[in-house]
Amino acid sequence: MPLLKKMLAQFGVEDKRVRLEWVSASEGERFASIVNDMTEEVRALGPFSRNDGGKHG
Amino acid sequence: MAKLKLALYWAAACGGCDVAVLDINEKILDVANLADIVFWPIALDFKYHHVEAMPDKSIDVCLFNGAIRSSEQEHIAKMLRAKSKVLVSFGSCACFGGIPALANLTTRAEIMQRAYIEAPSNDNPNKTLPQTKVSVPEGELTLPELFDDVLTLAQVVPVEYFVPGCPPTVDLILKVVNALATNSLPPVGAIIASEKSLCDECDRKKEKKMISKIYRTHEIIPDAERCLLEQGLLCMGPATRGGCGALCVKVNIPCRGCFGPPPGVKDQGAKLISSIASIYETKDEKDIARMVDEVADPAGTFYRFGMSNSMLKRKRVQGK
Amino acid sequence: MKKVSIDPITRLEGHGKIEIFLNDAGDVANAYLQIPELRGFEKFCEGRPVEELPRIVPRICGV
Repeated sequence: MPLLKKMLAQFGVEDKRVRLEWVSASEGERFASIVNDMTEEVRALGPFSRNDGGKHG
Repeated sequence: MAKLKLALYWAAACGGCDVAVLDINEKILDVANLADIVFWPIALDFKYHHVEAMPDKSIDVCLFNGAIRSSEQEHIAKMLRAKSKVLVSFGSCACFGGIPALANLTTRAEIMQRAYIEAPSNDNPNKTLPQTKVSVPEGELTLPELFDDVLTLAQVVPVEYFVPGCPPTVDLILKVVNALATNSLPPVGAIIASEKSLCDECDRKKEKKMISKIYRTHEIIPDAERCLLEQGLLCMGPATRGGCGALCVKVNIPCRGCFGPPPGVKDQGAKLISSIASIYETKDEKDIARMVDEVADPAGTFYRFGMSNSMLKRKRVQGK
Repeated sequence: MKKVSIDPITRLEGHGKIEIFLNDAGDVANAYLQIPELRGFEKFCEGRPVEELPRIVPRICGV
């Protein structure tokens, strides 16, 4: 993960956009809270601009 | 069989692929027997207007090398696509973006700024930048528009075959020439190289050892018999298609992935990260942090030749 | 003015075009050499590890 994040940073992908968590099927509440937290963090970062083979500067 | 009409063209390229074709030495005479070359800027004087005048599909095979990063390159790619029966994406630049695609980690504005204004050897007091249209006393001059993104050939026009390599090896080129001569090209869409990863071709001893340090290539002199990755060097072998004869590894330097991703792998960088993770032995967080530090330039190393072909394709710029 | 374009220049590495403007007498009034390509090595080599550059910069010219 840290290596992936270092590489993604070179691509301008912010650290908070990627997260790895281990959650078991019985940890429903924890899962919900992780998803909600991350949703808020990503929302605060704004849309992720995808350059799908875009051309112009 | 009537002589084939063959065209070769270079877009954002270095000429290496064209020279590689000449590297087949005396066999170029076989090519001359097999085909009339109707366009090849490095070697012949045909101009764009000659190509424009050709009927559609009158070129039997076009070997197109170089990535697409300007309006002229896109235009010629489309023109050659229309005029050619078979279009071959030739070399790593056309197939995956190649070295020019490292420009996807920056922007056109930054490149222009550096090349024309900031570079120490420049003499440009007026800070003039190239323009797509400029008026001179005699008339008007035009230049193509540079794109922000470097694209592969297949991202611009449909392509029948892919020959990877920086440059493609003589063996591979002869394979293509022979296939043309005997009319035995593989099914459309084929990548003309090996169907396995480089590791399969590599002769070195793989002992399935774990590593605990990653070295930059100047930090150690590797043992010539053992797997480079197992010695702590970043070798793109597991994330790269074979077919090159492991030329780089044979001279004791790690692979940098110029043959693109192996079959079944979409993204070379992701594959290599998971390969490293699977052989890396760590004790704790500090170890992991140290290892990450030891990888000097993940994006530029894992996507050295394959940026345009990767999942992310380019660095994200604010406001785009 | 009449303009004669030589495009592309051939038998060298690199892309170029020459625009020649002829006056009414048919003599060359002016000629311009233009380079319609830029790959950006000057910029994208920044940030790469120095020991990798000997494998990157030969791709400036393969001839």
